[in-house]
Amino acid sequence: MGRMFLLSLVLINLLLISCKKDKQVYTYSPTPYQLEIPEGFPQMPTNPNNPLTKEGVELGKRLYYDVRLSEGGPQAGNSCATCHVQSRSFADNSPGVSVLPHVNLGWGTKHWLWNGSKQGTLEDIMMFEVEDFFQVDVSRLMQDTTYQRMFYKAFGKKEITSKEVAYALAQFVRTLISGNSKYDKYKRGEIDLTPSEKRGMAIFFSERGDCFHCHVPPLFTDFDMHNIGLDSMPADPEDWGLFAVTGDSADLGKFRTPTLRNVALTGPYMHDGRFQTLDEVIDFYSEGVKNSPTLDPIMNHNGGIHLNLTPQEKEDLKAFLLTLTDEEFLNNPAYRP
Amino acid sequence: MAKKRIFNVEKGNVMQVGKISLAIIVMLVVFFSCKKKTEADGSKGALAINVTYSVDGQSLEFDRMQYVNSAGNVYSVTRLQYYISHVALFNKKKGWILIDTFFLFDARRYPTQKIIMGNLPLLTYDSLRFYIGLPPSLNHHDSLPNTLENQEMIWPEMMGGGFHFLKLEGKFKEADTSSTISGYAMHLGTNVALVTVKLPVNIDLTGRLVAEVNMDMNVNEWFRNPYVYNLAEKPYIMGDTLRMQKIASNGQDVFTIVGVN
Repeated sequence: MGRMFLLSLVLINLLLISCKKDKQVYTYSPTPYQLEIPEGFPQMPTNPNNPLTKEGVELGKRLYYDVRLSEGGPQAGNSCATCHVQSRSFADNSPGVSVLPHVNLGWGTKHWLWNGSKQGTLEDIMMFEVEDFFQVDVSRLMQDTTYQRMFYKAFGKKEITSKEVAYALAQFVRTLISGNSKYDKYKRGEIDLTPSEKRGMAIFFSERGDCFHCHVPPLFTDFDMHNIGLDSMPADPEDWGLFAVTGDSADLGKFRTPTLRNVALTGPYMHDGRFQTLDEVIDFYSEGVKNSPTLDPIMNHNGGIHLNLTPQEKEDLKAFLLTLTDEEFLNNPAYRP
Repeated sequence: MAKKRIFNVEKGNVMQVGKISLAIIVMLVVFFSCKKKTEADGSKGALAINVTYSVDGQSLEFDRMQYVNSAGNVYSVTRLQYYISHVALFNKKKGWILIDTFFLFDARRYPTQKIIMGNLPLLTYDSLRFYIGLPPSLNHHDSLPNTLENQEMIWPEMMGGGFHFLKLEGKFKEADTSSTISGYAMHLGTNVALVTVKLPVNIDLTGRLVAEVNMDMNVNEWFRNPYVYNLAEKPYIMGDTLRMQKIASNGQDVFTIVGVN
C-alpha cells in the first residue's frame, strides 16, 4: 500500500510538472510591434481590435507563405505568396494573372479588389481571403504544434477560428511598407533626379499628364474607383468593374486605382493584365482612352481625353515612374519566410 | 400724537420695509447682474452648422444627368469635396469673432454633414462669414494634419502648392439636344481662388449654449452669378487662373441659410 501511495504521488507530481511545462510553453505575453512610417506618409489607420504584435506579425508571415492555407479548398496548393511575390512588389507577373500588389495596404480604408467588391478594413478583406477565397480549414492548421504555440502567443487562444488567421495575415500585410524609393530619397533631399526623371515628374504632377489626381502621393493611389476608359462598352462581365457589384449603370467600367509604388515590377497592368509593359500603359493614356458615359471626368484633360504625349514626354514619364522602385522593400529579409 | 406716532411708526415701518425691499432689490439686481456677467465671461457657447446640397430646389443626387445650369448644360455631379475655414460670426458691439478652424466636406460620402464649433461668447450674431478653401496661412502642404483625406486634396507644388479648395466634378452635355457626353472638373486652388461667403443670419446665444444653423449649397450657383459658365467653354479649369477666379466669384452665393434653431 505504501509503495502504491508513493507511486501515486510521483505520478501526480509528474503530471503537475508536465502541465506546468505546457503552460510555460504557451505563455501569452505579446510584444507590441512598432511600425516605421516613412517620412511624409500619413499615419496608418489602426484597428484597436487587432493591435500589431511581434508574435502576430510573425504568425501572419508564416501563414502568408504556407500552402496549407489552401488545403482542401478551391485554391489548393497555393499560399498568398504564390500570387504576391516579394520581388514583384507582392504582385505577380504570370501570364493571365493580374493581382493588386500587397504594398502599403495598411492605409486602405475604402474599396478592395479590382472591382471594389469588398469594403471595410484590412481585417475584413483578409477574412474574405481566409473564408471565401482560400476556404481555410483551420482544424488542419491546428494539427501543427508550431501553429498551436504561435496562435496562443499571438492571440492567447487555444481555440482558433478564421478570425485569428485573418487577423494574423492582416498584421503581417500591415508591415509591407514601401517608402524608400529613389523618389522618396529625392523628396527627402538625399539625392537628385536626372533631367529626364524631373521632366517626367513635371508631367505627372501637372495638367500635362494629370496622373496625381488618382495616383495621390505618397501612396500613389487614392484607393478609389475610376473608369479610365479601357473600354467604351464592355461586354465581358470581367470588364464591368464596380457595375458588376452594384448594378448601378454609373459604375460601369470603374476599377480600383492601383498604387504606382514599384510599378515597374507589377505588370501586366490593368484588371485583366491587358498591357504587358509600362510603355503600353503610357501609350494607352496618350492615345488609347475610350470615351463613354461613365469615363471619369478627370480623364477630360485639357481639350480632350487623350494626353497626346510626344515620344520624349513618354520616355520622361516612364523614367519618373521607374523612380518609384524601392529596392530595399523588394529585398527586405523581414518579409521572407 | 399717538395717531401721528402710529402714523409715523407706520410710516417708519413702511419706510423701513421700503428700505429693506430696496436693499433686497439692489442686492438681487447686483447678484443677478453679477451672475449674468459671470456666465457671459465664463461660459462659452457652440455653433453647429448642418450642410445639405441641392440643385435649384431639388436634393442633389450623384451620378444623375438631370440638372440644367444657367448656360443650358445638362449635367451630373460625381464628386463634390471642399474645405470651409475661418468661420466668423458678427456681433454689433464686438465685431467679427473668428473661429480659427477648418473642415473638409465630402458631399458624396456625407449628404448631410454637421460641423460644430465651440468657445463662442454668449452673444447675438447677425452675420456668418467663412471661406470656401483655405486662407494663405493654411494653404501650404505642412499646415494640415497628414491624413489620407487631406493628401487627396493636395495641389501639386509645381502648380502653386497648397490644397484643392474645391473639387466639383461630373458629366455634361452642352445642351439637352447634344449627344456627346463629356466630363468636367471645376477645381479651385491657390490663393487667387479663395471664396469668401457672407450670409445674414440671426443667431442668439444669450439664452442657450448651442445654436444650430441649417445651410444649403445650391450647386447651380457655381455656374450662375455673376458669370454664367458654359462647361463646354472649358470643362477643366485647374491651373487656369482667370476661369478659377470666375468660378470662385460665383461661389460667393452658393450657400443659403435655410433655418436657425
